[in-house]
Amino acid sequence: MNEWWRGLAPAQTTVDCAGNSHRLRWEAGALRALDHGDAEGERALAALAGESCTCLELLDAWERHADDIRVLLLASRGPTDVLTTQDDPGAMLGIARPQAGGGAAGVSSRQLHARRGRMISMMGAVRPSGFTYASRGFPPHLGGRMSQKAIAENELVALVGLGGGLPDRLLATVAAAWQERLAQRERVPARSRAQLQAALHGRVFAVMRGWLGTAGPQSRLRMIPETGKRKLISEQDHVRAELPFGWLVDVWAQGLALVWGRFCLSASTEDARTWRLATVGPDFGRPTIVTLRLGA
Amino acid sequence: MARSLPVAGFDAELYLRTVGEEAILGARAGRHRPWDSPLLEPARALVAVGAISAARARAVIEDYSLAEAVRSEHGYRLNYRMAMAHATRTRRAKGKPLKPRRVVPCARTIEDANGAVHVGRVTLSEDSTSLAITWRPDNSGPGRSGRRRRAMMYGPGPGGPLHPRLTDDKGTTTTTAFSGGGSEDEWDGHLTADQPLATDTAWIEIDGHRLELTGKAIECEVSIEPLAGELTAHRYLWRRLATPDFHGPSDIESGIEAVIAAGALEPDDPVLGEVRAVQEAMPDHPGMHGGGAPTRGRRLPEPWASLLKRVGRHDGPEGMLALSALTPEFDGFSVAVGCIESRAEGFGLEVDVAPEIDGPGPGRGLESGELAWWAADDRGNHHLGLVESTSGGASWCSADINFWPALAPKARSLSIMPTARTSRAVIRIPLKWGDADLGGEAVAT
Repeated sequence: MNEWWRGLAPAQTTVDCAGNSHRLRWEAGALRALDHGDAEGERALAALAGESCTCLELLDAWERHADDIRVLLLASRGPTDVLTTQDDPGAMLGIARPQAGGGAAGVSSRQLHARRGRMISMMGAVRPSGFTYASRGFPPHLGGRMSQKAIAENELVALVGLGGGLPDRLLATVAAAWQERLAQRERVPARSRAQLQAALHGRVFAVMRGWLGTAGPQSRLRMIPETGKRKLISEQDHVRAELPFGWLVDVWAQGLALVWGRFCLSASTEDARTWRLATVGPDFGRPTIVTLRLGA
Repeated sequence: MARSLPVAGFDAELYLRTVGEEAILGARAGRHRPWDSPLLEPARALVAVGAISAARARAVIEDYSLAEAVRSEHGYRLNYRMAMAHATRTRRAKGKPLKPRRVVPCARTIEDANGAVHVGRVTLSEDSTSLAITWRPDNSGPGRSGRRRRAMMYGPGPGGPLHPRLTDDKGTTTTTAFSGGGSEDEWDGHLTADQPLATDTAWIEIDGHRLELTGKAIECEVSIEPLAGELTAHRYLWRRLATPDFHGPSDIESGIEAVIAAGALEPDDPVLGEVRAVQEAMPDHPGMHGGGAPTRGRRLPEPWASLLKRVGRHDGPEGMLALSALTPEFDGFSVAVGCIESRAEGFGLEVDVAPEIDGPGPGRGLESGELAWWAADDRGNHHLGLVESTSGGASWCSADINFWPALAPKARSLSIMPTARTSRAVIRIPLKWGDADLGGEAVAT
């Protein structure tokens, strides 16, 4: 995979991990748990003890969903699209939070059951079949069962509810994975193609509403091949955008969709410090190049 | 037969997802009921014209229900949205046709220490026995009133407020369960036997009180008719107008947009003008007393014009008729009508339907799990029924259907026409109010 993350600033948040405030940091395409020096070792120890750790669970969940197309569905479309964040991603993952002075467990089995039941109910994912024993986050002796889909949904909701810009980085990660598949001309199912185009439409639509106003002309999107010519054209009562899915990665995820009141069609860099943007003004004239340079 | 215009080349899933994207960004606010997904109406329309499978449409609705849920500031909405998504996912069960039934009008009141039970009708079939009853509990006496009030407050609970034992002339005895509703003074509903009694029994005993089954319900002529040929999209839109929920006419505009986008209709299709005119003319709450009058405007097509002509009239005859009518299967449905009750402001039917139809509340399905309940009298008046309530299981259900407007006083026969996607049943009822020999019963007011 190319270094799609070049130029993206690091993102960081804190989560409650076993009663402590721990840092999760995304940088250069990878998420790390800064307060767990030996993540692999701690993961093994936690597994032996039948315990769970929010940071490590989130790292694992991030890995599992790094190409999950549903991240594009759930994550924000932009600054005007605000998600109701979860106070405690660990709870979404089914991890008990020790109470101050409450000993190692802190939360009774009964409380855990109730919490898990609430989460299952909340996600409405209980199914008459297809259940699996949920070892992740749930001590095995509790014997809880959740469907695989419910577990995956809880993980997704926990991930897109993280603070510090991490959900945008996850979205960029997923989008980059799918951009790669499209660029390699891998066979993408029609269903996934519809999901990708909808994800692109939502973000382009959000940018257009912010740019031209909610009462402005309607926007129509045609998703073109990754190497296709990008266009933004005003036609009668609507604006037609012709963009590849990769626009999400190299423009939107970089925060470059609108620059100086101009819509950015493409952004490229050689050194991750100087950016060359092809932009269109609100008069929908010929694309104009804007150069951005990051100071020393 | 209905005809479909080609929808080739149209990506219905992408269309629905695009609608979902715009809904998330608030561009489609106020175009759907708050408890329904904004994708529901376009999805129904696209499923109806064959542009997408119901399963795929359900998956898209479920996706965007979750996306909206994580944006909700109200936790309960997450629960609710997901529940709705699950409701729309529920597949329509394949039911077996209803069994023939014997309907016996009774009009007999049995009194005991607990109160008075008025039995209006006994229905016996191979697989069920039920009694349509009105129960007036005896609230007199020390301590009784308080106990009854508690019962009313907390509902019937297991077995209901009364659960007498029934016996037939073959010696079969069974317990019963009550379903229905009521007030402190009166309950209306059905006693259903836990085990069916003999269909040819000459009598039944209700906790030892014998009831001779000598009455005879009105036998109704029944036939099945195919629907007239028209475009699938036209048929869908007319049908959608004929199946509102209790909150009034549905917002069909997003369905119209969807079928136009799919290429199933042209934007300037003249039928769209008629559909919109009918929707505009429909009263807000047609099934409710004083539910609003239609707006006067352009000339409407039939049967809508005659349906709306009598809205607001409260001159219907008052009475009840026990009926014996069972349809053959049509589009997979079978319907039995047990009773018609006419009131000044409208009339109602008690029916059994197999398989279960959609209830009146939110979360109605994507696939056609509902019938349009049309009726027409011998004077050219039309009526439309709304599902007031349903009870029962997946293979069949009992339902109360309330029709509007009121029956014309001079109507002498009525055809009830439960209408499915490609065919309808026609159940012809001679309106002989007050003829006790034919199951007629004048209703005291």
